Amino acid sequence: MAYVIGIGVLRKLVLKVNKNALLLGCSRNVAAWNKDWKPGPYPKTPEERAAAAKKYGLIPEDYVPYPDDGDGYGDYPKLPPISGEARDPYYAWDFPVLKKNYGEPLHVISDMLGEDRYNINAKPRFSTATQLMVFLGVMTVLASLFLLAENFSYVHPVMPKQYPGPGVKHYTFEPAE
Amino acid sequence: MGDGQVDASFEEKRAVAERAKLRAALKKEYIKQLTDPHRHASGEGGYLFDSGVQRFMSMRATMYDHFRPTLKGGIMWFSFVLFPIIGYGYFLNKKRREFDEKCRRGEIAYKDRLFKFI
Repeated sequence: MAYVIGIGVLRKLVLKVNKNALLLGCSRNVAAWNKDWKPGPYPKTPEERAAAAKKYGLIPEDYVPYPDDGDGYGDYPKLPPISGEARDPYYAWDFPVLKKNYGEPLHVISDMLGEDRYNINAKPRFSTATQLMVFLGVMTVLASLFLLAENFSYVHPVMPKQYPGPGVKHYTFEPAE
Repeated sequence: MGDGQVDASFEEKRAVAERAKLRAALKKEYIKQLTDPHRHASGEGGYLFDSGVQRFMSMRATMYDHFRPTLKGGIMWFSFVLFPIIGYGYFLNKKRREFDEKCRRGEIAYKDRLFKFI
């Protein structure tokens, strides 16, 4: 209670002294506009490249933009993809949960590279080609066995059902001669 | 930083040192913002504005600005999107229409019916 009254008095005092001091108790709207932060056009001259490298916080040797083939990202840098699992667990990251530093440029697929998602740096035990060949080999063998055995398949030895109907005679009861 | 390495070239050591300098500047800025006592009073929302994250989000939102129709892109779209959808629909429709016409003409015997074993 006394604290609230004190703040009111302090606010009046500050306002008396400085009319612009209206930030007391107000929240600042920190809104970033996409037009200010979106990647610029593909850099063509060395000066543009140097400026883009500085913008993204990279040294000019590290800055490699994606090729401008219609599916590019403007001047967004092509960073080496390092997923969360592959980052050093003992380094003093600024954001230890994300294993990320403040101001670090993010990879274009960094939302996929989190520690709870895809690990792009994991070396699989069997390469993708080996996996595909093994899968195709097994399925080919099984399918060929199935198809070869189709001609030798067994069905129940049954005749069509003999339903009664008008004018349909399936058998007669004649004495055996 | 890269002073003691004997197998790294001069350019590599210089690049490492420059990267470390940029990183140190960002780290210093982060610590300064983290320990700033007046940030609590400004009511800014509790999280620090990160330019890396903001650039990533803006890039994702404005990806169409850098799109250009090319031959290779068109071929990819045709072969992976348009042709599978239209081709699958056409062949499926053709197969079902032929089956329906055969049924209506009475060409399918009872012993060749679908779902015989259910």
